[in-house]
Amino acid sequence: MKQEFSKFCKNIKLTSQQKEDAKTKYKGVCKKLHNSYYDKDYDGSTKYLFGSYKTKTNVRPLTENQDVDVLFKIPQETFDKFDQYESKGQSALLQEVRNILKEKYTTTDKINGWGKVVLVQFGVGKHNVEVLPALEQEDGTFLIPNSENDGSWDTFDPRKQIDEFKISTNTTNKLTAELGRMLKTWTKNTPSLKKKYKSYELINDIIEFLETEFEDGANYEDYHEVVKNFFDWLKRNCDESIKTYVETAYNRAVKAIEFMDANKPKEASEEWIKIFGIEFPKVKENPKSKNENRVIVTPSSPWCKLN
Amino acid sequence: MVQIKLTKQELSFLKSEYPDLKFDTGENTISGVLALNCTYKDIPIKAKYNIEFHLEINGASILPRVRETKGKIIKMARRKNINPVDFHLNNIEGEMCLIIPAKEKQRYPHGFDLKEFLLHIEEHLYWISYFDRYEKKPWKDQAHDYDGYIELYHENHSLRSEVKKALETRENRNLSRAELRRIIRNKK
Repeated sequence: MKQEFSKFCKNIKLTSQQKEDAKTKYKGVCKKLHNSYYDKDYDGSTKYLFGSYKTKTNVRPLTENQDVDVLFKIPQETFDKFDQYESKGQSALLQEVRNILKEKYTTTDKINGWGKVVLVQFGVGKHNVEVLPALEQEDGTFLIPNSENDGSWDTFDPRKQIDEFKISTNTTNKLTAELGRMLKTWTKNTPSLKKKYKSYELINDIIEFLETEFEDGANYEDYHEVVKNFFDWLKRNCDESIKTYVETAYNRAVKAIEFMDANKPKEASEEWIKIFGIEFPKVKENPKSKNENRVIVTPSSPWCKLN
Repeated sequence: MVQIKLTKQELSFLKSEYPDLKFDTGENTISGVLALNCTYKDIPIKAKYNIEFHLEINGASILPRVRETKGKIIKMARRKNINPVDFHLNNIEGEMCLIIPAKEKQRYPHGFDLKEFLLHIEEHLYWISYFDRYEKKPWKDQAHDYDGYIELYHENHSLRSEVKKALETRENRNLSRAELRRIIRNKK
Protein backbone atom coordinates (compact mmCIF):
# COMPACT_ATOMS: atom_id res chain seq x y z
CA MET A 1 0.00 0.00 0.00
CA LYS A 2 3.04 2.25 -0.22
CA GLN A 3 1.86 3.88 -3.44
CA GLU A 4 -1.73 4.23 -2.23
CA PHE A 5 -0.70 5.93 1.02
CA SER A 6 1.63 8.23 -0.88
CA LYS A 7 -1.16 9.15 -3.32
CA PHE A 8 -3.67 9.54 -0.49
CA CYS A 9 -1.37 12.00 1.28
CA LYS A 10 -1.04 14.03 -1.92
CA ASN A 11 -4.82 13.90 -2.52
CA ILE A 12 -5.64 15.49 0.80
CA LYS A 13 -2.95 18.15 0.90
CA LEU A 14 -4.19 21.63 -0.02
CA THR A 15 -3.31 22.83 -3.49
CA SER A 16 -1.16 25.94 -3.82
CA GLN A 17 -4.26 27.73 -5.11
CA GLN A 18 -6.20 26.80 -1.96
CA LYS A 19 -3.30 27.92 0.23
CA GLU A 20 -3.17 31.19 -1.63
CA ASP A 21 -6.94 31.60 -1.22
CA ALA A 22 -6.65 31.09 2.53
CA LYS A 23 -3.87 33.64 2.73
CA THR A 24 -5.85 36.19 0.75
CA LYS A 25 -8.89 35.67 2.97
CA TYR A 26 -7.24 35.97 6.37
CA LYS A 27 -5.01 38.80 5.19
CA GLY A 28 -8.06 40.70 3.96
CA VAL A 29 -9.85 40.25 7.28
CA CYS A 30 -6.85 41.19 9.42
CA LYS A 31 -5.87 44.16 7.27
CA LYS A 32 -9.35 45.58 7.52
CA LEU A 33 -9.31 45.26 11.31
CA HIS A 34 -5.77 46.62 11.53
CA ASN A 35 -6.67 49.73 9.56
CA SER A 36 -9.55 50.37 11.94
CA TYR A 37 -7.58 49.92 15.15
CA TYR A 38 -4.07 51.15 14.28
CA ASP A 39 -2.62 54.21 12.56
CA LYS A 40 0.48 52.47 11.16
CA ASP A 41 0.46 50.44 7.93
CA TYR A 42 -0.47 46.76 8.09
CA ASP A 43 2.60 44.46 8.10
CA GLY A 44 1.02 41.29 9.48
CA SER A 45 2.40 41.71 13.02
CA THR A 46 -1.04 42.31 14.50
CA LYS A 47 -2.28 38.86 13.56
CA TYR A 48 -1.36 35.44 14.90
CA LEU A 49 -2.29 32.33 12.94
CA PHE A 50 -3.00 29.13 14.83
CA GLY A 51 -4.91 25.89 14.34
CA SER A 52 -4.73 23.70 11.27
CA TYR A 53 -3.72 26.44 8.88
CA LYS A 54 -0.67 27.19 10.99
CA THR A 55 0.23 23.51 11.39
CA LYS A 56 -0.56 22.81 7.73
CA THR A 57 -2.84 19.98 8.75
CA ASN A 58 -5.94 21.23 6.98
CA VAL A 59 -7.19 18.90 4.29
CA ARG A 60 -9.14 18.99 1.10
CA PRO A 61 -11.79 18.83 -0.14
CA LEU A 62 -12.70 21.98 1.74
CA THR A 63 -15.96 21.90 3.64
CA GLU A 64 -17.96 24.67 5.23
CA ASN A 65 -16.58 23.75 8.65
CA GLN A 66 -12.98 24.35 7.69
CA ASP A 67 -11.78 27.71 8.92
CA VAL A 68 -8.55 29.60 9.03
CA ASP A 69 -8.10 30.41 12.72
CA VAL A 70 -6.51 33.75 13.36
CA LEU A 71 -6.08 36.00 16.36
CA PHE A 72 -6.26 39.71 15.78
CA LYS A 73 -4.23 41.59 18.39
CA ILE A 74 -6.31 44.48 19.67
CA PRO A 75 -4.61 47.56 21.17
CA GLN A 76 -4.49 47.86 24.98
CA GLU A 77 -6.84 50.87 24.91
CA THR A 78 -9.47 48.90 22.98
CA PHE A 79 -9.26 46.13 25.56
CA ASP A 80 -9.49 48.69 28.40
CA LYS A 81 -12.52 50.31 26.81
CA PHE A 82 -14.53 47.07 26.66
CA ASP A 83 -13.16 45.80 29.95
CA GLN A 84 -14.67 48.84 31.67
CA TYR A 85 -18.18 47.84 30.68
CA GLU A 86 -20.17 46.74 33.68
CA SER A 87 -21.38 43.75 31.70
CA LYS A 88 -21.32 42.33 28.20
CA GLY A 89 -18.18 44.25 27.17
CA GLN A 90 -16.92 41.12 25.45
CA SER A 91 -20.08 40.81 23.39
CA ALA A 92 -19.77 44.48 22.43
CA LEU A 93 -16.19 43.94 21.27
CA LEU A 94 -17.24 41.03 19.06
CA GLN A 95 -20.05 43.14 17.70
CA GLU A 96 -17.70 46.00 16.93
CA VAL A 97 -15.34 43.65 15.08
CA ARG A 98 -18.29 42.22 13.19
CA ASN A 99 -19.44 45.69 12.16
CA ILE A 100 -15.99 46.74 10.96
CA LEU A 101 -15.76 43.60 8.83
CA LYS A 102 -19.25 44.21 7.46
CA GLU A 103 -17.98 47.42 5.88
CA LYS A 104 -15.71 45.32 3.67
CA TYR A 105 -17.61 42.08 3.31
CA THR A 106 -20.96 43.47 2.37
CA THR A 107 -23.23 41.37 0.27
CA THR A 108 -22.24 37.80 -0.43
CA ASP A 109 -20.39 36.98 2.73
CA LYS A 110 -21.94 36.06 6.06
CA ILE A 111 -20.45 37.40 9.25
CA ASN A 112 -21.45 36.04 12.63
CA GLY A 113 -20.18 36.96 16.04
CA TRP A 114 -20.87 34.65 18.95
CA GLY A 115 -19.16 32.98 21.87
CA LYS A 116 -15.54 33.93 21.39
CA VAL A 117 -15.16 34.45 17.68
CA VAL A 118 -16.30 36.29 14.61
CA LEU A 119 -16.75 34.01 11.63
CA VAL A 120 -16.46 35.37 8.11
CA GLN A 121 -17.97 32.88 5.70
CA PHE A 122 -17.06 32.92 2.04
CA GLY A 123 -18.39 30.86 -0.85
CA VAL A 124 -18.44 27.08 -1.22
CA GLY A 125 -14.98 25.55 -1.61
CA LYS A 126 -13.31 28.63 -0.13
CA HIS A 127 -11.76 29.10 3.26
CA ASN A 128 -13.76 30.76 5.99
CA VAL A 129 -11.96 32.91 8.48
CA GLU A 130 -12.56 32.61 12.21
CA VAL A 131 -11.12 35.66 13.89
CA LEU A 132 -10.60 36.07 17.61
CA PRO A 133 -9.95 39.63 18.80
CA ALA A 134 -7.36 39.20 21.54
CA LEU A 135 -5.05 41.10 23.83
CA GLU A 136 -1.51 39.77 23.73
CA GLN A 137 0.03 39.49 27.19
CA GLU A 138 3.66 39.71 28.25
CA ASP A 139 3.95 35.94 28.78
CA GLY A 140 2.86 35.29 25.19
CA THR A 141 -0.66 34.16 26.06
CA PHE A 142 -3.77 36.02 24.94
CA LEU A 143 -6.91 37.29 26.63
CA ILE A 144 -9.91 36.58 24.43
CA PRO A 145 -13.52 37.67 24.90
CA ASN A 146 -16.08 35.13 26.01
CA SER A 147 -19.52 36.62 25.49
CA GLU A 148 -21.41 33.87 27.28
CA ASN A 149 -23.48 34.90 30.33
CA ASP A 150 -22.40 38.41 31.32
CA GLY A 151 -19.07 38.01 29.60
CA SER A 152 -15.54 37.30 30.71
CA TRP A 153 -11.95 37.26 29.44
CA ASP A 154 -10.42 33.82 28.90
CA THR A 155 -6.73 33.10 28.77
CA PHE A 156 -5.79 31.38 25.53
CA ASP A 157 -2.38 29.89 24.79
CA PRO A 158 -2.21 28.75 21.15
CA ARG A 159 1.58 29.10 21.09
CA LYS A 160 2.08 26.10 23.38
CA GLN A 161 0.47 23.65 20.97
CA ILE A 162 2.08 25.27 17.94
CA ASP A 163 5.52 25.00 19.55
CA GLU A 164 4.92 21.38 20.57
CA PHE A 165 3.69 20.60 17.09
CA LYS A 166 6.75 22.19 15.45
CA ILE A 167 9.12 20.18 17.63
CA SER A 168 7.23 16.96 16.95
CA THR A 169 6.93 17.38 13.21
CA ASN A 170 10.63 18.30 12.90
CA THR A 171 11.67 15.30 14.98
CA THR A 172 9.44 12.88 13.10
CA ASN A 173 10.45 14.14 9.67
CA LYS A 174 6.99 15.67 9.15
CA LEU A 175 5.10 12.51 10.12
CA THR A 176 3.14 14.51 12.73
CA ALA A 177 1.67 16.74 10.02
CA GLU A 178 1.10 13.88 7.59
CA LEU A 179 -0.63 11.72 10.21
CA GLY A 180 -2.60 14.79 11.30
CA ARG A 181 -3.94 15.26 7.79
CA MET A 182 -4.74 11.56 7.34
CA LEU A 183 -6.60 11.36 10.62
CA LYS A 184 -8.50 14.55 9.95
CA THR A 185 -10.00 12.81 6.95
CA TRP A 186 -11.01 10.02 9.34
CA THR A 187 -12.85 12.50 11.57
CA LYS A 188 -14.35 14.25 8.52
CA ASN A 189 -15.50 10.89 7.24
CA THR A 190 -17.15 10.17 10.60
CA PRO A 191 -19.44 13.20 11.06
CA SER A 192 -20.79 12.31 14.50
CA LEU A 193 -17.20 11.91 15.77
CA LYS A 194 -16.09 15.31 14.49
CA LYS A 195 -18.29 17.05 17.04
CA LYS A 196 -16.89 15.00 19.92
CA TYR A 197 -13.23 14.99 18.98
CA LYS A 198 -11.81 18.42 18.23
CA SER A 199 -8.92 18.99 15.86
CA TYR A 200 -6.63 20.32 18.58
CA GLU A 201 -7.30 17.21 20.69
CA LEU A 202 -6.43 15.00 17.72
CA ILE A 203 -3.18 16.90 17.15
CA ASN A 204 -2.25 16.67 20.85
CA ASP A 205 -2.90 12.92 20.75
CA ILE A 206 -0.77 12.49 17.64
CA ILE A 207 2.09 14.39 19.27
CA GLU A 208 1.84 12.20 22.38
CA PHE A 209 1.62 8.98 20.37
CA LEU A 210 4.64 9.88 18.23
CA GLU A 211 6.67 10.39 21.37
CA THR A 212 6.29 6.67 22.04
CA GLU A 213 6.47 5.15 18.54
CA PHE A 214 7.84 6.20 15.14
CA GLU A 215 9.76 8.97 16.89
CA ASP A 216 12.06 9.33 13.89
CA GLY A 217 9.25 9.22 11.33
CA ALA A 218 8.18 6.49 8.94
CA ASN A 219 8.17 5.64 5.24
CA TYR A 220 4.98 5.32 3.22
CA GLU A 221 5.40 1.55 3.27
CA ASP A 222 4.93 1.66 7.05
CA TYR A 223 1.99 4.08 7.12
CA HIS A 224 -0.55 1.28 7.52
CA GLU A 225 1.25 0.28 10.71
CA VAL A 226 1.49 3.89 11.93
CA VAL A 227 -2.27 4.33 11.52
CA LYS A 228 -3.15 0.96 13.08
CA ASN A 229 -0.85 1.57 16.04
CA PHE A 230 -2.23 5.08 16.56
CA PHE A 231 -5.77 3.71 16.84
CA ASP A 232 -4.50 1.00 19.18
CA TRP A 233 -2.85 3.64 21.36
CA LEU A 234 -5.87 5.96 21.17
CA LYS A 235 -8.40 3.35 22.26
CA ARG A 236 -6.49 3.08 25.52
CA ASN A 237 -6.05 6.81 25.97
CA CYS A 238 -9.24 8.38 24.66
CA ASP A 239 -12.40 9.69 26.24
CA GLU A 240 -15.15 7.10 26.71
CA SER A 241 -17.40 9.13 24.38
CA ILE A 242 -15.26 8.39 21.30
CA LYS A 243 -14.05 4.90 22.20
CA THR A 244 -16.41 2.98 19.93
CA TYR A 245 -15.37 5.12 16.94
CA VAL A 246 -11.72 4.41 17.65
CA GLU A 247 -12.32 0.69 18.12
CA THR A 248 -14.23 0.53 14.84
CA ALA A 249 -11.38 2.32 13.06
CA TYR A 250 -8.83 -0.01 14.68
CA ASN A 251 -10.75 -3.11 13.62
CA ARG A 252 -11.02 -1.78 10.08
CA ALA A 253 -7.29 -1.04 9.98
CA VAL A 254 -6.58 -4.59 11.17
CA LYS A 255 -8.89 -5.98 8.50
CA ALA A 256 -7.18 -3.86 5.84
CA ILE A 257 -3.79 -5.15 6.96
CA GLU A 258 -5.08 -8.74 6.91
CA PHE A 259 -6.04 -8.22 3.26
CA MET A 260 -2.67 -6.62 2.55
CA ASP A 261 -0.88 -9.59 4.09
CA ALA A 262 -3.05 -11.96 2.06
CA ASN A 263 -1.98 -10.14 -1.12
CA LYS A 264 -5.43 -8.66 -1.67
CA PRO A 265 -4.77 -4.92 -2.05
CA LYS A 266 -8.16 -4.36 -3.68
CA GLU A 267 -10.05 -5.46 -0.57
CA ALA A 268 -7.49 -3.72 1.62
CA SER A 269 -8.07 -0.40 -0.14
CA GLU A 270 -11.83 -0.80 0.39
CA GLU A 271 -11.23 -1.07 4.14
CA TRP A 272 -8.99 2.00 4.16
CA ILE A 273 -11.70 3.87 2.23
CA LYS A 274 -14.14 2.98 5.02
CA ILE A 275 -11.81 4.77 7.43
CA PHE A 276 -10.59 7.69 5.35
CA GLY A 277 -13.23 8.17 2.70
CA ILE A 278 -12.92 8.30 -1.07
CA GLU A 279 -9.73 10.35 -1.09
CA PHE A 280 -7.94 7.07 -0.38
CA PRO A 281 -7.21 5.50 -3.78
CA LYS A 282 -9.12 2.38 -4.67
CA VAL A 283 -7.07 -0.51 -6.04
CA LYS A 284 -8.86 -1.91 -9.08
CA GLU A 285 -7.61 -5.47 -9.09
CA ASN A 286 -5.46 -7.88 -7.13
CA PRO A 287 -2.13 -9.15 -8.47
CA LYS A 288 -2.30 -12.47 -10.28
CA SER A 289 0.74 -13.93 -8.52
CA LYS A 290 0.09 -15.93 -5.38
CA ASN A 291 1.48 -14.97 -2.00
CA GLU A 292 4.49 -17.20 -1.36
CA ASN A 293 4.48 -17.40 2.38
CA ARG A 294 5.78 -19.91 4.83
CA VAL A 295 3.24 -22.01 6.66
CA ILE A 296 4.00 -22.53 10.33
CA VAL A 297 3.02 -26.02 11.40
CA THR A 298 4.41 -26.97 14.80
CA PRO A 299 5.77 -23.84 16.40
CA SER A 300 7.81 -23.65 19.59
CA SER A 301 6.40 -21.86 22.59
CA PRO A 302 8.13 -18.62 23.48
CA TRP A 303 9.37 -18.37 27.07
CA CYS A 304 10.78 -15.67 29.30
CA LYS A 305 13.48 -15.77 31.90
CA LEU A 306 12.76 -13.38 34.74
CA ASN A 307 15.78 -11.58 36.16
CA MET B 1 31.62 -18.91 25.64
CA VAL B 2 31.71 -20.89 22.41
CA GLN B 3 31.95 -19.24 18.99
CA ILE B 4 29.81 -20.66 16.19
CA LYS B 5 31.51 -20.81 12.80
CA LEU B 6 29.29 -20.63 9.75
CA THR B 7 30.02 -22.84 6.78
CA LYS B 8 30.20 -21.53 3.21
CA GLN B 9 26.86 -23.16 2.51
CA GLU B 10 25.27 -21.40 5.46
CA LEU B 11 26.67 -18.04 4.37
CA SER B 12 25.40 -18.55 0.86
CA PHE B 13 21.99 -19.61 2.23
CA LEU B 14 21.87 -16.44 4.33
CA LYS B 15 22.71 -14.27 1.35
CA SER B 16 20.10 -15.81 -0.93
CA GLU B 17 17.22 -16.33 1.51
CA TYR B 18 17.70 -13.38 3.87
CA PRO B 19 19.32 -10.66 1.74
CA ASP B 20 18.59 -7.97 4.34
CA LEU B 21 20.49 -9.84 7.05
CA LYS B 22 24.24 -9.27 6.88
CA PHE B 23 27.04 -11.33 8.32
CA ASP B 24 29.90 -9.40 9.92
CA THR B 25 33.00 -11.58 9.85
CA GLY B 26 34.99 -9.53 12.34
CA GLU B 27 32.23 -9.41 14.91
CA ASN B 28 30.89 -12.87 14.00
CA THR B 29 27.45 -11.30 14.05
CA ILE B 30 24.34 -11.46 11.91
CA SER B 31 22.22 -8.32 11.86
CA GLY B 32 19.72 -6.42 9.75
CA VAL B 33 16.08 -6.63 8.76
CA LEU B 34 14.18 -9.86 8.97
CA ALA B 35 11.11 -9.67 6.78
CA LEU B 36 8.68 -12.36 7.78
CA ASN B 37 5.86 -13.59 5.62
CA CYS B 38 4.23 -16.48 7.45
CA THR B 39 0.84 -18.07 7.89
CA TYR B 40 -0.45 -19.97 10.86
CA LYS B 41 -3.92 -21.51 10.76
CA ASP B 42 -4.77 -19.47 7.66
CA ILE B 43 -3.82 -16.12 9.19
CA PRO B 44 -1.03 -14.53 7.15
CA ILE B 45 1.25 -11.94 8.68
CA LYS B 46 3.93 -9.86 7.01
CA ALA B 47 6.19 -7.78 9.20
CA LYS B 48 9.72 -6.47 9.47
CA TYR B 49 11.97 -6.50 12.50
CA ASN B 50 15.54 -5.38 13.00
CA ILE B 51 17.46 -8.15 14.71
CA GLU B 52 20.99 -8.94 15.74
CA PHE B 53 22.72 -11.99 17.15
CA HIS B 54 26.32 -12.85 17.94
CA LEU B 55 27.24 -16.29 16.76
CA GLU B 56 28.22 -17.49 20.18
CA ILE B 57 26.63 -19.54 22.90
CA ASN B 58 27.11 -19.45 26.61
CA GLY B 59 25.57 -21.05 29.63
CA ALA B 60 23.18 -23.92 29.31
CA SER B 61 21.63 -22.77 26.02
CA ILE B 62 22.77 -24.05 22.63
CA LEU B 63 21.33 -20.98 20.88
CA PRO B 64 22.75 -17.49 20.41
CA ARG B 65 20.98 -14.61 22.12
CA VAL B 66 18.86 -12.63 19.66
CA ARG B 67 17.99 -8.98 20.10
CA GLU B 68 15.30 -6.91 18.41
CA THR B 69 17.35 -3.77 17.98
CA LYS B 70 14.85 -0.99 17.16
CA GLY B 71 12.77 -1.34 20.30
CA LYS B 72 9.69 -2.28 18.27
CA ILE B 73 8.57 -4.99 20.68
CA ILE B 74 9.09 -2.97 23.83
CA LYS B 75 7.09 -0.13 22.25
CA MET B 76 4.23 -2.56 21.55
CA ALA B 77 4.25 -3.52 25.22
CA ARG B 78 4.25 0.13 26.31
CA ARG B 79 1.45 1.00 23.91
CA LYS B 80 -0.67 -1.78 25.32
CA ASN B 81 0.36 -1.23 28.96
CA ILE B 82 1.58 -4.81 29.09
CA ASN B 83 4.66 -6.03 30.93
CA PRO B 84 7.41 -6.59 28.28
CA VAL B 85 7.98 -10.10 29.67
CA ASP B 86 4.56 -11.01 28.28
CA PHE B 87 6.03 -10.19 24.86
CA HIS B 88 8.85 -12.60 25.78
CA LEU B 89 11.52 -10.00 26.15
CA ASN B 90 14.24 -10.87 28.65
CA ASN B 91 15.39 -7.29 29.09
CA ILE B 92 15.00 -3.73 27.85
CA GLU B 93 17.85 -4.29 25.37
CA GLY B 94 15.33 -6.28 23.34
CA GLU B 95 16.69 -9.77 24.01
CA MET B 96 14.04 -12.23 22.91
CA CYS B 97 13.43 -15.56 24.57
CA LEU B 98 12.56 -17.98 21.83
CA ILE B 99 12.29 -21.22 23.78
CA ILE B 100 12.75 -22.72 27.21
CA PRO B 101 16.28 -24.24 27.22
CA ALA B 102 14.95 -27.67 28.20
CA LYS B 103 13.20 -27.90 24.83
CA GLU B 104 16.12 -26.74 22.70
CA LYS B 105 17.47 -30.24 22.10
CA GLN B 106 14.11 -31.41 20.79
CA ARG B 107 14.08 -28.65 18.22
CA TYR B 108 17.81 -28.71 17.52
CA PRO B 109 18.76 -32.41 17.86
CA HIS B 110 22.13 -31.83 16.16
CA GLY B 111 22.95 -28.57 17.91
CA PHE B 112 22.78 -25.07 16.45
CA ASP B 113 21.53 -24.94 12.88
CA LEU B 114 21.35 -21.51 11.20
CA LYS B 115 18.51 -22.41 8.84
CA GLU B 116 16.36 -23.79 11.64
CA PHE B 117 17.29 -20.88 13.90
CA LEU B 118 16.13 -18.28 11.36
CA LEU B 119 12.86 -20.15 10.86
CA HIS B 120 12.51 -20.20 14.62
CA ILE B 121 13.06 -16.44 14.87
CA GLU B 122 10.47 -15.85 12.13
CA GLU B 123 8.00 -18.02 13.99
CA HIS B 124 8.69 -16.16 17.23
CA LEU B 125 8.19 -12.80 15.53
CA TYR B 126 4.96 -14.09 14.01
CA TRP B 127 3.80 -14.82 17.57
CA ILE B 128 4.75 -11.28 18.62
CA SER B 129 3.02 -9.62 15.64
CA TYR B 130 -0.10 -11.72 16.12
CA PHE B 131 -0.27 -10.88 19.83
CA ASP B 132 0.16 -7.19 19.02
CA ARG B 133 -2.53 -7.23 16.34
CA TYR B 134 -5.19 -9.42 17.93
CA GLU B 135 -4.33 -9.22 21.64
CA LYS B 136 -4.50 -12.98 21.88
CA LYS B 137 -1.89 -15.65 21.45
CA PRO B 138 -1.64 -17.62 18.19
CA TRP B 139 -0.40 -20.60 20.16
CA LYS B 140 0.28 -21.22 23.81
CA ASP B 141 3.43 -19.73 25.25
CA GLN B 142 5.46 -21.21 28.06
CA ALA B 143 4.90 -19.84 31.56
CA HIS B 144 7.62 -17.41 32.63
CA ASP B 145 10.82 -18.43 34.32
CA TYR B 146 10.75 -21.57 36.52
CA ASP B 147 6.97 -21.83 36.25
CA GLY B 148 7.70 -22.78 32.65
CA TYR B 149 9.71 -25.76 33.88
CA ILE B 150 6.96 -26.87 36.23
CA GLU B 151 4.52 -26.61 33.35
CA LEU B 152 6.91 -28.64 31.19
CA TYR B 153 7.16 -31.34 33.87
CA HIS B 154 3.44 -31.97 33.47
CA GLU B 155 3.16 -31.56 29.72
CA ASN B 156 6.17 -33.54 28.52
CA HIS B 157 7.32 -36.59 30.49
CA SER B 158 10.36 -37.10 28.29
CA LEU B 159 11.75 -33.77 29.47
CA ARG B 160 11.52 -34.47 33.19
CA SER B 161 15.26 -34.98 33.56
CA GLU B 162 15.83 -31.57 31.93
CA VAL B 163 13.31 -30.03 34.31
CA LYS B 164 15.07 -31.64 37.27
CA LYS B 165 18.42 -30.24 36.12
CA ALA B 166 16.98 -26.75 35.78
CA LEU B 167 15.37 -26.86 39.22
CA GLU B 168 18.59 -28.18 40.74
CA THR B 169 20.44 -25.25 39.20
CA ARG B 170 17.97 -22.89 40.81
CA GLU B 171 18.14 -24.63 44.20
CA ASN B 172 21.92 -24.94 43.82
CA ARG B 173 21.90 -28.57 45.01
CA ASN B 174 20.86 -32.01 43.92
CA LEU B 175 17.22 -32.88 44.45
CA SER B 176 15.83 -36.25 45.48
CA ARG B 177 12.72 -37.52 43.68
CA ALA B 178 10.65 -36.72 46.76
CA GLU B 179 11.98 -33.16 46.92
CA LEU B 180 11.37 -32.66 43.23
CA ARG B 181 7.78 -33.87 43.58
CA ARG B 182 7.28 -31.56 46.55
CA ILE B 183 8.49 -28.52 44.57
CA ILE B 184 6.29 -29.43 41.64
CA ARG B 185 3.27 -30.04 43.91
CA ASN B 186 3.71 -26.75 45.76
CA LYS B 187 3.85 -24.82 42.52
CA LYS B 188 0.84 -26.53 40.98
